[in-house]
Amino acid sequence: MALMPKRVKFRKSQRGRVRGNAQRANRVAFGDWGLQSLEPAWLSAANIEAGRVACARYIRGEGKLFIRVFPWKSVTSIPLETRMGKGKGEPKYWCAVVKPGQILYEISGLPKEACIECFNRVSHKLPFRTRMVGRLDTF
Amino acid sequence: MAQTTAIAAMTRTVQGSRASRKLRAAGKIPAILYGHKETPVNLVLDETELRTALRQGLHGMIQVAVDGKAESVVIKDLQYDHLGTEIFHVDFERVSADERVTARVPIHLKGTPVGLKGGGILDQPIHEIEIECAASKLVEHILVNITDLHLGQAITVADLPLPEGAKALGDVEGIVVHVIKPATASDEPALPGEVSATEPELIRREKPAEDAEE
Repeated sequence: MALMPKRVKFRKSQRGRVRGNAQRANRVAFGDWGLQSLEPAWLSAANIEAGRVACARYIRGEGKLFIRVFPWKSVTSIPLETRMGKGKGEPKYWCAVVKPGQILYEISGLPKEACIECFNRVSHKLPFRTRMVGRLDTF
Repeated sequence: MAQTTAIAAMTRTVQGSRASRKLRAAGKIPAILYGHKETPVNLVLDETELRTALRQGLHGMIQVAVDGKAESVVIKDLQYDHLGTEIFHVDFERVSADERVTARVPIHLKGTPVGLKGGGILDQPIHEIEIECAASKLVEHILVNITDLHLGQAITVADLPLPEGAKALGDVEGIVVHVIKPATASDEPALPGEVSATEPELIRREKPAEDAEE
């Protein structure tokens, strides 16, 4: 089941633009290794779920997966062969707005080699370039 | 452990984001030195030299030679870019060897737990802790041997081998690392926000009672 907010103030949102880089959620915080986005994008709830399934099938309950993105934004569309006008379309799917640097998934409890393979599989499900990163020693 | 080599630094006269950007383009890193109620000094460091020093250790007491004059410091903050690759800025704090300082120290694990052979999963909820100790006793990381950890067993903050005279700040009962049973499909909780409805509920302000009567 794809992710979606439980309660929202408005059903439809304006498109907006993905500007700048991720100033938060850009460090591995929960796991040992993370998958970091390198491009701005909209990540649909279906994409997030596809990545989760790809990871779960690989790790088979051995490690722990953390999902660091949530689809807060609704994307609307009008049906095919519809005349222009008559207002904004209906919500079609939900997506997360991803900026470069954002950590998307994290894994703990797996060796590095397994994480590389796992994130390689996950990255094939995502519509933008990503890379695997480790923890930064913090202060 | 404390480094012996000193990082060469020069006093910086230029300030601001534009000047700092130019410095970074020239292979320099802007920094600041403060503490001991003295005037803060803006510094500039060589990036290569800083990275070499950081590879030797981040968390211990280090020496910074400001215009040739050596000062004992600890790194208080290290700012990276959004991808976590380029160093943007360094904060140094003056310390003396016997002075007690607080610092966040990473926890590193050593060995493979026995519990993993029994089908357990290694989970590490705490990756770093805040400790208070003498500046000269600051360590690079706290190494925890987890070889004897069985399924269901945990190591808490109180069990950590801290440096001499150090005190852990915060919750000492917190679990640092434990071996847990793998979650089965039935145990797995639903993802937050995962709802069966096709559309989310709308947050609406309730109408006042007067309107309802009309």
